[in-house]
Amino acid sequence: MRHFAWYVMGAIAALCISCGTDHQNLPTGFAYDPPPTPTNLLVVGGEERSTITWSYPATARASIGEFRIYEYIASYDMLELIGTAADTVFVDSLLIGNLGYCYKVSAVDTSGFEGWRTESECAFVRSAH
Amino acid sequence: MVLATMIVLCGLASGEVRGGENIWYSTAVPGWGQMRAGHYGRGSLFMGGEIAALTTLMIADIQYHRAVEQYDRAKASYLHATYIGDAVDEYGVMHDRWDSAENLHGIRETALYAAIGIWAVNVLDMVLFDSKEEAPLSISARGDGFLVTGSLSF
Repeated sequence: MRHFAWYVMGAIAALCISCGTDHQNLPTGFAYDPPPTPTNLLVVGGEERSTITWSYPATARASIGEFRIYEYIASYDMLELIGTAADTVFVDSLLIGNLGYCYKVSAVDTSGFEGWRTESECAFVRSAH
Repeated sequence: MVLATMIVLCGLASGEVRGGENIWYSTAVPGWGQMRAGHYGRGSLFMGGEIAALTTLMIADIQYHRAVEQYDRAKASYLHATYIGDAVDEYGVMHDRWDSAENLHGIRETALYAAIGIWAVNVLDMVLFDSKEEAPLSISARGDGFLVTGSLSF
């Protein structure tokens, strides 16, 4: 019984040591500084194509690697990346006519970090015939 | 608490404390020595308290490790985020898991201290207040099993 009691005391000491381990520290502050969000998004529907334009502050252009253009399918709340652009205009072509298309745009800085996406803008695309 | 435990341990090691063999039973399993001495109420209290504290400690420890794993995953996702929306979401998740881990760590520590405290008080109780009364019912370990002994006093 004495030996067993010593084992119990050893187990208690081991328990104290194992429970003393703490988790890692929480990272302090928010580490990311996203690029500004594009503004004045405008979508103009054409014949089986839509032209997407937006504005971006000139002061922030130097730190931008590219703009990302997404098609937004509202009924599924789904985003699909359809292309990238170095300038503030993008043409989405070879579309099926007589349908509405919605888009969102975001800016990506030179490190590859993507800023907030714009609200969606939609346009009706006409058929070629 | 630590001082009291050390005093008891030194006493046990030197064999200068009262209580005899029952102390070793209480040291091994809180309340067992008291029960052997016939103090079933005190023994049940120590044993029940110790079981409750250790059960709480075990559950809190499992949940704590689970929360830490979730926190580590959220932290990794946050640190590797390439979209501000994902970074904000993961930052929130990371904070939630951190708070959860902190709470569980507190519960775990409280349960651990409670378990150690109950154990130490139980041993002190045997050292200081162990009476030499004959137990009406006692259980003792033997080489090949346990011996249950009943006695009548007049």
